[in-house]
Amino acid sequence: MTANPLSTVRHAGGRAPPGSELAGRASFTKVAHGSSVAKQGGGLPFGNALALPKHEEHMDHTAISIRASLALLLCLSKAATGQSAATEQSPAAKPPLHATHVLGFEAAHHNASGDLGIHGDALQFQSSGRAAAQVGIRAIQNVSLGQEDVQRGGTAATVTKAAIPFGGGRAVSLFAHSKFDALTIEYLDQNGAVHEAVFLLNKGQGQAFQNELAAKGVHVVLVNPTTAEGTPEVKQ
Amino acid sequence: MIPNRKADRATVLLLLLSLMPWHVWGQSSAPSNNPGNGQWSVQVDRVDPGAVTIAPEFKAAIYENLLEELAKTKQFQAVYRSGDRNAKDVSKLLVLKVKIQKYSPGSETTRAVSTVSGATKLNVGVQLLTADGRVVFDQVVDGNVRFFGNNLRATHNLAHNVAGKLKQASLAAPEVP
Repeated sequence: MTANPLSTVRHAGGRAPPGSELAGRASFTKVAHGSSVAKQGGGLPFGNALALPKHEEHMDHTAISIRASLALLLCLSKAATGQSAATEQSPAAKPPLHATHVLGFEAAHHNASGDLGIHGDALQFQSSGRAAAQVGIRAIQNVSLGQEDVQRGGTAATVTKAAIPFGGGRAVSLFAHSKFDALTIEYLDQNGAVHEAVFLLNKGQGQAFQNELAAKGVHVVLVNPTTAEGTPEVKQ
Repeated sequence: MIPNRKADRATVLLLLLSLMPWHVWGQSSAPSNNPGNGQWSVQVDRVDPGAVTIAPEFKAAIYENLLEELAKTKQFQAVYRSGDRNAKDVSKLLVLKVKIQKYSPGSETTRAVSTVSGATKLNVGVQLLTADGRVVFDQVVDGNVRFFGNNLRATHNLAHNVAGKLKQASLAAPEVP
């Protein structure tokens, strides 16, 4: 018998006795073992006990307990292997970024907030309470990054500003605006039609996400940063 | 008594008709001014920035908003995206080309603080071409945000204006082969 991690072992004593519990079952069992096991009970600590024909009941109980312990051992070793694999995979999977979908991404609402991330070979946007919208990385033609100056608080903030007397709302406006990274993604659908989606991410996150896409082979279009900051009027 | 009741009813009816908004009448007559447009389909080409340096999100937003606004008008049988393979089989197809002519980014913060400055301005040339390259529509359209709304709102206003101009225009009916 050659060495096999899951070697097949016949119970000591050859066949199981006809009246015993083991008789109706297959007389082979698999154990996690590095080498072939001695046939006459020499390889197992319970070999001698198993070999005794007078104590059949005792033998049955012992064989069952061996099986159970080996099965438990096998399960534990597999679980441990799975845990270590999961621990190894977790650093590679980055957590999704919180983003606002402005427009252009199919199956996602305009101005919807959600999580933007890369899952395998797909770019996925998951807004709360809705099915995830995704597009294959290979379908993405270009990705580019700009900056947008957006007021926080939406309509409520606008109404509040208007309600502040003596033009105080204007002063509030100075602090109510934040700069966001605007990530533009051009991709093709199944019919070859061009889609252009815009996402707003917190400042600094856009660059990291763009680099992540670039590492996956997506073409990056570099943009002059001064254009997004507000240059004087450009005329043709 | 009976003639008086009839007169009352007529007066009430007249009053109700006079209260109806005029644009309701205008809307119902608008398609009759433009009978040929309904037979065309349109394919929106990618936005051409020309010599103007424009932020990529603006370019994308103009393209996407144009598709939405044109579909809303229901002026065309179908609205196709650039590169859509389904558009190849369409015989009565117009291609919409948009070229940026002027672009002023503006600032929402400046608008909110000063009111008078920080406007985002877009000025584009819009052309509709037939499959054989004949220009059937050529105009310059503006889209601005002066007071309220974020900068990308200018792209929505622009697309809305383009769709409005196209609706007003009388396009020649497609030639039947």
